[in-house]
Amino acid sequence: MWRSELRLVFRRRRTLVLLAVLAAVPVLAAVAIRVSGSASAGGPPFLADITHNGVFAALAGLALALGFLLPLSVSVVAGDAIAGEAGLGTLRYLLVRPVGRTRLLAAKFGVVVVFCLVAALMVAGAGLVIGAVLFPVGRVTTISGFSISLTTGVLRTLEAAGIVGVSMVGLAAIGLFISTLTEAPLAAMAGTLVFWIAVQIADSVPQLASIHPVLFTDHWSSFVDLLRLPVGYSSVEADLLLQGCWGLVFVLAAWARFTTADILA
Amino acid sequence: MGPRPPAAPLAVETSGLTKRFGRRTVVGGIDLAVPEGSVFGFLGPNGSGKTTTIRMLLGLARPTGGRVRLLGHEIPGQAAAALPQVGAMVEGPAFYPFLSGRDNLVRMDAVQKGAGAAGRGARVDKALQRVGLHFAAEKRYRAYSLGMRQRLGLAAALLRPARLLVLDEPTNGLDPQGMREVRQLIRSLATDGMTVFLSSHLLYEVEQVCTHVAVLSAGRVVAQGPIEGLRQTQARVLRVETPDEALAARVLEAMAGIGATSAGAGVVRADLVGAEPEDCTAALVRAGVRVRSLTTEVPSLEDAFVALTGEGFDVEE
Ligand SMILES: Nc1ncnc2c1ncn2[C@@H]1O[C@H](COP(=O)(O)OP(=O)(O)O)[C@@H](O)[C@H]1O
Ligand SMILES: [Mg+2]
Repeated sequence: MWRSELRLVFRRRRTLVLLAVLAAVPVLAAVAIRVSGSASAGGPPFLADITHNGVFAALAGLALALGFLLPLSVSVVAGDAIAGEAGLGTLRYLLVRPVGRTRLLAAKFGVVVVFCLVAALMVAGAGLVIGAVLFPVGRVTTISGFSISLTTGVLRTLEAAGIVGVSMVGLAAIGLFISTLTEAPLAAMAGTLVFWIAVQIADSVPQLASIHPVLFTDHWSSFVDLLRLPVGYSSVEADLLLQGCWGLVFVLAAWARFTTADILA
Repeated sequence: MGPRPPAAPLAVETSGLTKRFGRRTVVGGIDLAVPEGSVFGFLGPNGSGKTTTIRMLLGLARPTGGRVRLLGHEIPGQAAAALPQVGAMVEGPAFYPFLSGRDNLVRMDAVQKGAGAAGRGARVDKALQRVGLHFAAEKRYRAYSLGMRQRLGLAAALLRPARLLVLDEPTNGLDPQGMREVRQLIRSLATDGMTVFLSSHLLYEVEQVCTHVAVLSAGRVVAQGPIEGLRQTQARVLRVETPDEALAARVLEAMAGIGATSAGAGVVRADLVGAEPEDCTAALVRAGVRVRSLTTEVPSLEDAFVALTGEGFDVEE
């Protein structure tokens, strides 16, 4: 079941296209900076540092992907989870096989979480490669100004990618829940994306500062702290807690909905 | 429940099964009794609630009221115990368009708990062979014709040995040759001892393969039982050809055991509800009616169904 789900998602052309587009993010950024010869300071974190050290292409890529493409990809894959099967009509055949509804939902969510991790690692991996090709690499200067060895820097970068992947879990759970509400996968994907945009807007309105700490996007940039010396884990921990809470609430909501819904598609 | 008299075990049993969508009652309290080993026709015009009923039998939709027992297990509570012994096709085939026919079946086999990977290839090949689709196994489902899709749906239902096969309008979209093949397949499965629950809006299809039938009309079962019994629910009709229509009609109407009569164009018809044709002949001749011919017509199943449902059935082919 689990293997079959993984194969179904990761052999689909749509998934491969999404991953390819994500990999293109750091590549495009690095090529643009290489061609123009410099990057102005400001803009997304790490972008200006690429010229000194190619490793930063991966980190800049993560920061850029978080802006839109990563949430978009997660919305697509999570929104499709149940609604896609309902839309095709295959859901009824899975359920009479029988695949237990709880088991199906668990497998679907598991695969979406794997996709989140793979997507973030894809960005970081492509960034590391293109950075090494186009720019010098060496000891990594952290945000705090101290430098760490290249190996440590690469490991920190991969760790950061893992955290970015986990940061998507809240959104993935929201997508899963919305996916149980409809038989139209496009509607579920769009709904998830709109939900994220709404949360992001709320997160940027100062008047709503009181609710900012509980929004699932609030600590999405916590991975940056891994590039400090000493590493600051407090924001990462806050992020993991947020993702855990949002994930739990929406996975339970999805479960409550899916295990009682009539399958009429 | 107290002890029951021994009866044929039932593959499907429902009591008061009801489904409402909002304020609309789509299935209105139906009691089905599908004996094990029967080929059970679930006959009703389009929109009469066949698919909705089947969804409730399989635990896909929750009844608004009533109960379902499937192979002795309560549905939806014990669906996990009953469904592994059921093969089903509900409301047409549905597969992943981007996978080949074979890969679709492989997935269906792989998602089932306890279906080992060991015999998978053989199971899939056997099912494809059985519906004559092995030649197109590697083609993507997207490229399948309607008939091929229908066959793949049947193959998926036959993927594992089942005690009960639930087929919702399995010949939809098939050409006459394909329909014959499906009927042949159903007969051979029944010979092997499988119970087949077959929904259809095609009377002749049910007539050709089914041993039992339930007739559904607007969400209610209007008749149910062995198919021969149903034919006999209709009165035989006496048909008299005579130039003396009016007199003949009067004579017949005066007899006991005669139902509705009609006359016209040299023919008088009368429903026989107790009277025997030979007595009618004697009475007509005594009254001086010049009888050209006198026959009895056994009503067709179609007459029975039209009378029961008040609607015609699509007759194709
Ligand atoms: N999800 C639904 N919501 C509302 N009405 C429905 C729904 N599904 C089916 N119906 C209605 O229920 C009736 C019976 O449908 P169905 O069971 O598909 O009939 P059949 O399979 O005999 O053609 C139809 O009139 C249909 O419009
Ligand atoms: Mg139907």
